[in-house]
Amino acid sequence: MSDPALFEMRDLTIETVRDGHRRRIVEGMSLSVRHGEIYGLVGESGSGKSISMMASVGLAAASLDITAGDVSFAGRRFAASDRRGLRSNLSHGVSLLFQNAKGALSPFLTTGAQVERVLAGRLPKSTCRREAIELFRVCGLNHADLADKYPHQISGGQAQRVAMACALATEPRLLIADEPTTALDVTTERELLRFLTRLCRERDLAIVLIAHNLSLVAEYCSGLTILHAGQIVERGPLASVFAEPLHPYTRGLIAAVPDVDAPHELEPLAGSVWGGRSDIERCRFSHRCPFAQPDCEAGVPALLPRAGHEVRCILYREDAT
Amino acid sequence: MRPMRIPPVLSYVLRRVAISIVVLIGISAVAFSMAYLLPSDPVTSRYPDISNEQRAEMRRQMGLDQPLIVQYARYMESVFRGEFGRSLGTGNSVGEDLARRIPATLELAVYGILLGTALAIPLGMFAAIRRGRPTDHVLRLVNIAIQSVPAFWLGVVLIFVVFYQLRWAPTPVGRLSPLYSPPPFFTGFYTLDGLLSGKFDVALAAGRQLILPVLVLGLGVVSPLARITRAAMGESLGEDYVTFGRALGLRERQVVLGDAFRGALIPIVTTFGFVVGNVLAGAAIVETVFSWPGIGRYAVTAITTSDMAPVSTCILLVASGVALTNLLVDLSYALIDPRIRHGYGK
Repeated sequence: MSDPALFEMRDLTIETVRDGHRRRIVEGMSLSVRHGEIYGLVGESGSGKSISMMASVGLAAASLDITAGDVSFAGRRFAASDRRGLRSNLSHGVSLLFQNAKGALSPFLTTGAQVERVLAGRLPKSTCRREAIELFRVCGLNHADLADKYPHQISGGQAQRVAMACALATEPRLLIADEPTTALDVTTERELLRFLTRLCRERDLAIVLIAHNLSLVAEYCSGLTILHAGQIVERGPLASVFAEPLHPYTRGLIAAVPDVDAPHELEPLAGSVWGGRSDIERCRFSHRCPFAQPDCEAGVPALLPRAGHEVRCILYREDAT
Repeated sequence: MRPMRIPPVLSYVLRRVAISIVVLIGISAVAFSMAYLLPSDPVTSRYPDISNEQRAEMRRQMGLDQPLIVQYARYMESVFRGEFGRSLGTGNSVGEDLARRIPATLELAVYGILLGTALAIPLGMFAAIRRGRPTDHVLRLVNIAIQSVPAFWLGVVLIFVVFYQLRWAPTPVGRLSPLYSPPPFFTGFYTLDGLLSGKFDVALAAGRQLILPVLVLGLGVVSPLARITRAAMGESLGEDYVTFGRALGLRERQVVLGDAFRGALIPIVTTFGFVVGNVLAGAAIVETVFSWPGIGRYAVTAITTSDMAPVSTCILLVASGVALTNLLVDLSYALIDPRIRHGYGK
C-alpha cells in the first residue's frame, strides 16, 4: 500500500425506502484503485455494484439516500453525500462508460458533434474538430465515415467506441466502465476490452470494470471486489482470489464459469440476491448457501484477512477452525 | 448513402394538405347544417313583429326557402369566390368582415400563446427537475389553481380589480383607446405596426389594451402545457443519454436544455397543437369580455342573431387554423428527432 490510491471509496452506505421499509442497498462499500490499474467489481444484478459507482461520482438517483462514506480522487476528498462535489470530478479526470452505448449517446446530435461538444468544455473551439478526428482515430473509428451519422445509424460496437471517444475527450485518469460490453457480441467484446487495456498502458488510465461475468474480470483485472446484496463478500488481488476462493458465493461464481480446457458440469447458483429487509443484521447469502448454519443469522460477519485477501463469512472466523 | 430528403417531405406535406382540404369541406358541411339547425330563425330574430306574409317574402329574398343542399351549394360557391357568404348583421361579405377581424384575434392569440408557453415550459421543467420535492408540490397546486379559474370569471375579475379599482389598466374597449387612430397596416398587429411606423405612443397604447385579455388567454394555456412538460421532462431526465451527458462533465444547462428538453419536445409540441385549438375557441369568451373586435366576438354575435354564413365560416376558419397547426406539429417532429427524419419511427 505504498503507492497512494488514485481513487478511494470508503465505507459507502446507500439507503432507500421501499415498501414502507428503509432498506440498506449498499453497506460499507470500499474500493481502492491505483493509477493505471484495471480493477474488477463483480456481482449479480441488484448487488449494488452500479449504484455504488454511480454514487461515487454524484450521479446516484435522487431517491437514494447516501448515509455514510467518502470518496477521494486524486487527492480531493468529498463526503459521499456531496453530489455536487463528486460531480465536479467528472470534468477533472473521472469518466464513465455505460452498458447501453446507443442509449447513452444523445439521439439528437451526430457522433462528431457529441465528441466535439465534450471537447469544447476544455479546448478552444478552433481545435475541437482536429482533436475529435484524433480521438476517433484513437478509438479505431473513421471520422470521415461516422462523424456525420447519428447514433441510430451506427452499430452497437461503433456506438461504444464513440462513447469511448466522448469519455476520452475529458482526459480521464479513471474510467468507470459499467458492463461496457454486455450489449455487444463476443468478438466485439474482446476487441473493446483489448482496446481498453491498451489505453490503460498508453495513457496511464485506471479502469473500474463493473461486470457480472467473472471470466472477463479474470482475464483483464489485477484485483477484484465481489459484491453480494450490497455487501463486499470477498476482495483482493486477482491471483489470490482465484487461487483460493473462500466465500461460498465466490466459489459458486467460479463454478459457474465454463472452461474449455477443463470441462466440468456447470453449477448454477441457487436462489437470487437477498430480497428481504436489508436492515436486518445477518449474512445476506445464507439463504442460498450450502454451508449455512444457525450462526449465519446472528449478525453481519466481519471482513477478515485470509489467504492473502479478505472474505466476509463465519466459516473463516478465528474460532471457526 | 444519405437518403434524398426533400421529395418525401414534400409529398408528405402535399398529401396532408389534400387530406386537410377534404376534412375542411366535410367540416364546412357539418358547420353549415349546424347553423341551419339552430332553433331560431334569422328573419324572426331580426324582425320579430312582422306578418307571416312579410316573413315568407323575406325568407324568399334571402334564399332561406330553398332546400338545405341548395343553400349549402350557394354558400360553397361563395366560399370559393372568397366571399364566404354574406352577413345579415353587417351587410358585408363574411370574407370582408373577417379580413378586418382576423388580425385582432391573431394579435391576441399569438401574444397569449407566447405568454402561456413562456410560463408553462419553465414551470413544467422546474417541477420535473424538483420532482417529488416541495417545489414540485407547490407548482402542482399553482397549476391546479390556474386550471380551475374560468376565463370569463378571471376576465371580469381582472377588469374589476385592475381597471376599475386600481386603474392600472386602460378602459377595456377593444384594441385601442378612441384617443388614438390605428397605425398603418403592415402586419395587422397594432403593437408591431405602431413600432414599424414609428408611432410608439400608439404601440404602447395598443400594448396596454392587450395586457389583460392576453393574460386571461395565456393562463388558459399554462396548465396543459406545464403538465405535459413536467411529465415528459421527468421521463427524459431519466434517459441514459442525460446521465451520460452529466458523466461527461457537460454543464447541467447543456444536459437539461440540450438533451433532456429536446427529448421531451415531441409530446410538448403535440400538446401545443391541441392548445392552439383551445386558444382559438377561448378567444370567443375573452373577446366578448374585453369588447375585442375579433372573430370570436363576431362569431358570438352571429350565433345569437342566427347569422348563418358568419357562423359556418368562423367554424371553418378555426378548423383550418387547427388543421394547419397540426400539420406544422407533425412536420416539426422530423426537425426535433433525427430518428423520425430518417424514417426509423419512434
